[in-house]
Amino acid sequence: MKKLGKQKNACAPLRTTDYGLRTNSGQSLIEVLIGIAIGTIFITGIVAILVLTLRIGFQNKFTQSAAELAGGLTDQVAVFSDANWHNVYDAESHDGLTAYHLTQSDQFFVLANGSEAVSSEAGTFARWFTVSDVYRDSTGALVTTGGTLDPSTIKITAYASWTQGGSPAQVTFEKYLTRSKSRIFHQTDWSGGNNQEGPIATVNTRFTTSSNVTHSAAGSLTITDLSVEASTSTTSNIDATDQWAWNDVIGWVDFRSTNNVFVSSTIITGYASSGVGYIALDCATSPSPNCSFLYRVSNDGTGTLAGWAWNDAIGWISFASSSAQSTYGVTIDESGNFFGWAWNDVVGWFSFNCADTGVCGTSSYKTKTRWSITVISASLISSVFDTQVTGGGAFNSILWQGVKPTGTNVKFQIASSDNASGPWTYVGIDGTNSTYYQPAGPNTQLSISRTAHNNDRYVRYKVFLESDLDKTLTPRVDDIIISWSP
Amino acid sequence: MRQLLTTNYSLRTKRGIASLPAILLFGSILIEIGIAGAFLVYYLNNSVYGTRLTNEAIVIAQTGIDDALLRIVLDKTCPNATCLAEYTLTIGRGTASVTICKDTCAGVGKDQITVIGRALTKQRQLIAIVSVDATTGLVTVDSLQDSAL
Repeated sequence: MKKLGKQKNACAPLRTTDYGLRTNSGQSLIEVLIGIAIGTIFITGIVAILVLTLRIGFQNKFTQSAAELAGGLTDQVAVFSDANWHNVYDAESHDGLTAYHLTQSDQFFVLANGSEAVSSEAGTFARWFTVSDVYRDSTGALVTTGGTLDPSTIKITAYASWTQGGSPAQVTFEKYLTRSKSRIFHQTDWSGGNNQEGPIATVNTRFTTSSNVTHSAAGSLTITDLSVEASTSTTSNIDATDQWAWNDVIGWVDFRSTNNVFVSSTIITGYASSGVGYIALDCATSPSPNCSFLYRVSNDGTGTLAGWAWNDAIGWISFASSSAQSTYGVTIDESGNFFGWAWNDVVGWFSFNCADTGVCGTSSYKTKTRWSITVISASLISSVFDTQVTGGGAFNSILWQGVKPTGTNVKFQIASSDNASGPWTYVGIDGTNSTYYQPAGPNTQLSISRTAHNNDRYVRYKVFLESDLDKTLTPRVDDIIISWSP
Repeated sequence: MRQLLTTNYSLRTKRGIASLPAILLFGSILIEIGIAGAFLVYYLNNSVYGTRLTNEAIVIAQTGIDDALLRIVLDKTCPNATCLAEYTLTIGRGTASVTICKDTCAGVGKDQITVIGRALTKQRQLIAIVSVDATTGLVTVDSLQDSAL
């Protein structure tokens, strides 16, 4: 400041200018340095962004190409499988690790082991797919652990991989393929008769064998000599020969002559004839119906009788003991034969079978009914149906249409084979011959065990018709439908 | 002279200040270019990735359609107590939401299968109409279309 002050008078403007120039020059240098620093930062950032941009762009190019390749492979595999399920399903391994790819032969794909090299604008990729088994839980949901193998679904994972900057990268696509094409074997008429073994590709009106089945001209199956409709008559189901019980005091008791004694799974109705008048077995169907005091002879469904009968002369007749001191009762065996004893306080024991008194041969009597704990059965074996699918089909479900009166049953067993001549093992729902496919009723689809019959070419059914226990009613089968997928 | 000095000083001062705004201006332009580039990369990336996700969503939706078809083939009365009308499948990193509508959506005797396939942020919808024979259970696919959500 001193120096500046001394020079002020001599050449003040110049000094001032000099000072200003020096001061400003210093500021410019700092500005330049700061500018260069900021510029460097900016440029570095920009270069970094540009490099990142180029790198991401390059990666996107690869990823996009890989995604297209993997997606394309997924579509190709789906088309390949759609043309024939076995094309992909028959891959040697379903471990989800073994690599497969598709090659083209003639006009279509061929499954090949390993991966394939695919070139695109972005570069060269390796492309392959794996096959995995699929499991489902009881609700049908796909599960990764546990569950039951679903042979009609497989999982495809398609891969496209490449190397970028020395690092491997890949894109994957997953897809589940299902065997959901729908085909049916639908038999609606059996009037053509038996002795047709097959194999047949188109279902007709014939079958192989039957037992006790009436296959009417109307195209329905019923049990021979039984009716679909419940009878409204009170006709007795007591045997025309074996109709007797014995009492030492009053003699024979006839269960047939009144023609109204009817044994069912729950009750014996009607009344029998004896030397002391009618013996009423059920208050509602007695000679003079009167249920002011409710009584009946009941059946527990297995042939064990209980309850009371009534006679105006001798009073109550007990069909089963109600005390621990005396164990008696009346039963019906699986052939409909009565056994055992009933009791009356006035005339004593009633015997229903000579075998219990040891007098058979001398006096061969018994009471017998058509009812028993067994039913009347009939069965029919279909012809062999040919899916015409090399490698076999998947059998999805079985159902029937018709009428199922109360107490009757319709059930099936399925046999399948790779060979048109069998062997034919008829099995049920657990894959053994001791079980059946037994839909709850007509028009009810029941799944066939796909693991038991998977990929067999030939299939046939055995249908069982069962009467009610009273042996008066038969189911009527109008249609049998097996659903399958090629 | 005073005026000249003042003028000189003023000029010099302005020259010194002018370089910093120029650098800042230049830098701002660079930053804007950078931000624009970053946005460009973002949208490009989003576009490419979105395309891939969309393709995945379609594949997932197709899986949902196939699964529903299999369920209907196995049970012609589906949906019912044992065959859900709505369920979700997990496929890879995506999900397929399946809805089966019987008789009321596409007409009597027809099932409408609606599947929304989702892959992260992308989703696609496929709708299939299938005929189901009430007597035999035979299933026939009438149509399959990619439908806008």
